[in-house]
Amino acid sequence: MNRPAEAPVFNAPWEALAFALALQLHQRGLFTWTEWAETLAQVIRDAQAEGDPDRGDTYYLHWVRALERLLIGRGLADEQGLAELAAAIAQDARHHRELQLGVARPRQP
Amino acid sequence: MSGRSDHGHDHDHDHGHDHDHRHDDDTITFRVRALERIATEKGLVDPKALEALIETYEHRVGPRNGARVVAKAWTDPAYRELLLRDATTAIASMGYVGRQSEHLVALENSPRVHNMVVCTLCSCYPWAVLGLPPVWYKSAPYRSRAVSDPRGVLREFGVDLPQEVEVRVWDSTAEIRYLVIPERPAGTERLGEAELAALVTRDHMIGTAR
Repeated sequence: MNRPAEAPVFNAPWEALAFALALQLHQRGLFTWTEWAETLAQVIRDAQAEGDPDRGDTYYLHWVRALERLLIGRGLADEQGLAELAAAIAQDARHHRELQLGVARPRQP
Repeated sequence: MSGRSDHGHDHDHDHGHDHDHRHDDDTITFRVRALERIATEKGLVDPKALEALIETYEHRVGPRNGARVVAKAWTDPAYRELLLRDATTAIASMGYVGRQSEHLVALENSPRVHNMVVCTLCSCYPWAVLGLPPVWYKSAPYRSRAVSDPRGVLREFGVDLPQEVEVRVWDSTAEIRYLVIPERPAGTERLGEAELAALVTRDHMIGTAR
């Protein structure tokens, strides 16, 4: 009865954040856990149909897709709005990084 | 599946690999942060509560909880009886509570029966007692082969089950999760609960170890 080495629970901060978002949105009543499981299962089937070998390492990508589908399904977001928001956050992050490196000037208000 | 040593990467580890990975990671990070921002702006989540949840699942909930449950069942006949009759109540009495109002069912191995747990559709798993599932549990090969060829899967985990031992495979759902209670090893009569718990692994409680 040997004990195997334990892998980290989350492999990247975004996996942890996606996990916690789903759990809290469920706790706040946005969806039942059965709805969540059904959505996730459908996302996994879709990914497999698109060629994802689905070996477990893409699991949290499925989790993110399921979150997006549920938020869109509830009318809280739409595909394009999410993409634009993600791009804007990326832009801010890049700008912030450049500021730290001293290669960009603070943006004017 | 190729067992627990499979790290799930098929591509070559050539130049540019790390860079590509970081790029993908950035892209997905911003998608998740967009979801977080929308949910926060709508008042649906609280960033502090999100941090607390992550802390809980990274550091406080894990298979040690389940191991304590198993050790208690091995040493306390009344607890074992309660666990087999109503596992949700039995684990709650030790402070382990599920977050999705799911029911837990305990499955006891015997010399003639080996239980093994899978979630064929996604990754339902008894978080309260085992924490979050390992990568292989979420993989398509395990999810399908645990049902079609459980003895073959067990062999890959190093368990060669004699033909006379019946294998029972249990498919988890959003509503029902399972915890396997392995047999207490011979020669452990003098061990206390804490020492016994140290003998119980996550794989015993999923049923991919015997």
